[in-house]
Amino acid sequence: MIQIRNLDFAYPDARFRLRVKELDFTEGGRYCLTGPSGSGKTTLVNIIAGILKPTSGSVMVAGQEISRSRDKLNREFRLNKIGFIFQNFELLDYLNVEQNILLPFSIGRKMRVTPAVRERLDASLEQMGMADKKRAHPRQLSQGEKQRVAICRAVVNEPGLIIADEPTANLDERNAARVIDLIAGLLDRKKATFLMVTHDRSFDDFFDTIVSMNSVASHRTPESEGGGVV
Amino acid sequence: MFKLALLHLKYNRILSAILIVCLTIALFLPMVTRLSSSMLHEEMTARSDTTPLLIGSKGSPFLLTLNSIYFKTEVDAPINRGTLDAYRKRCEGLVIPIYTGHRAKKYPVVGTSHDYFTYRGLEPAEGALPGMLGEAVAGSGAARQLRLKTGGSVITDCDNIYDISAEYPLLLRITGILKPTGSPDDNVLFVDVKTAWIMDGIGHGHEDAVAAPEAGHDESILFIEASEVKYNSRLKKYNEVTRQNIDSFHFHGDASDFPLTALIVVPASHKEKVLVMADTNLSTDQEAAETESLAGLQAIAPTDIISEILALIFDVKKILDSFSGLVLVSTGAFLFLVLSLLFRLRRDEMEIIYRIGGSRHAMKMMLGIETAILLGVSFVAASVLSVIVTALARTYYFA
Repeated sequence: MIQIRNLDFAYPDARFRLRVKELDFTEGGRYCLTGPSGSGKTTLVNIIAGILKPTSGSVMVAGQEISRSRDKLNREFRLNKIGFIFQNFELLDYLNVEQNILLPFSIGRKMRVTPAVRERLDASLEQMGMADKKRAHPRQLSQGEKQRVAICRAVVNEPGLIIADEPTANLDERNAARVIDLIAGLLDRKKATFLMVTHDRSFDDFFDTIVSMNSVASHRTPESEGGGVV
Repeated sequence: MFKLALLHLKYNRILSAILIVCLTIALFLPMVTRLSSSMLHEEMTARSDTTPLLIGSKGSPFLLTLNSIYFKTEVDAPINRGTLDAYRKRCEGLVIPIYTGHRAKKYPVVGTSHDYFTYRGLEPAEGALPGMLGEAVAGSGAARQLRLKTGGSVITDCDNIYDISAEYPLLLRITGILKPTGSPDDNVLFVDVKTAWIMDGIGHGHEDAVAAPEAGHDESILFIEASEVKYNSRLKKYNEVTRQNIDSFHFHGDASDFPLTALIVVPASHKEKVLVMADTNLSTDQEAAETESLAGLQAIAPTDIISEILALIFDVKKILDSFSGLVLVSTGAFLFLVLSLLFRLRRDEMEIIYRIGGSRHAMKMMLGIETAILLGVSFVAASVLSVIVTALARTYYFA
């Protein structure tokens, strides 16, 4: 699903540099990307999603060379093939639950809300226990509910890859467990590759593979000069 | 993106409404000034262009024009019936008398002749034009406002209810309602000029006076001195002209002295028009004295007078335009500031949309669409408001 080779990335201000020699994620696998703050977890998933461009090296995702594709292609790729779940849920205040979930369809020119999409939307909401909150706006939802909406949005167009960046960081233990259960339930049926960035090691059993940034990447910050390729 | 822009505006409806109101006002001011001035120009010139010449007593030509064409204000001094006869004799063309000054329930009652209806193209929508004393035909607007119907009646206004020597109001019988014309004729009641003189008290009707008491009669003649007969207050005067009492109506005094406000002169040719103007305006005092009927008169071309008034109005409009321009510029700057701040506030939203797969260009486009919707709605609202206000002004001042 994802092959990373000789990746080198540096922010323009050169405050941070990330290097990954070789890293593979197989299709349908559940991966946990873990590591201390500032180890480059979010930077790595942003590179995989085509949001950031590496300085050099190769990143292949579902057969597409993300690292060399034009921004337009990468955006279309993200829209169609990748589902994103963010730490802060990133819902738009002025859209209700249904509109937030269907946001990719409002953005993508060629994407249409077909009856099948509506069925998926209803099924996801049902599964998340949010069926009665279709018309609610984010300000009317609890933190846990917001994250469940974000999960529905990530899976509504059946992406091959779901990336979750610290999805449980802003949730209490009970809600975090529920979110992980819901994601597990969805993945059981959808068979998508799941890549989650987290500090939280309490859900290690949920993943097939735990990838520690310290073991696959070297990073360098002004405070930690001298890191090398692992 | 259009749908998202609409949803954003709908969600922030109060902010959107405030922006729309501000923009509408800023756009409305120059729009309504432009529309109103063009309407004013159109209405005033349309009326004045169809009135080639006005003859009236010397004084303000503005007042004469406003009074005799638009039935507004009062004139300085009246002319008389003799002038009408004199111009009818000397002028090849139509000479129409106009006598204003009376009102019925605040609406002007204009005394004129049948030629006026023919000349202005006024036709009854129902009923007929006045055929006898005491009859009136109502303009469509006046009829609507006063709820007049053919066969109904309206009483003229009393100038001063505390003046016991004043003439009694006259009950006018409505013989017809004119078709609407969108002109000042719509808000007027027309009577024959003789009926107007009855309202003045120059003509009147009363029961037969008796000098000595008879059975069932009181003495109604106070005294007879030379040719003057004085009646006491027991003599019953008619305040309505009917088929039964019409024969008792009569006029006192020399008919050539009966008052008129103005004459509309429609000369047969341009040459004739120039001659009438020259005869009237350039005659010396001595000549005027010789031809008594031309003394103290002025002949004006309403088009020239209206052009002068409009030139004055358009000077004022230029000042208003510059104020409106300033308001527009400051609102534009205000809008730019608000949108810039909104753009900053919505950076996070743009980032979310970009991360999901939207382009940054599309986000800018969405903001552009929102601005266009706000401007579009404001423009439409300002246009509709301007048209309504202009139409109301047209109805109030001209129709």
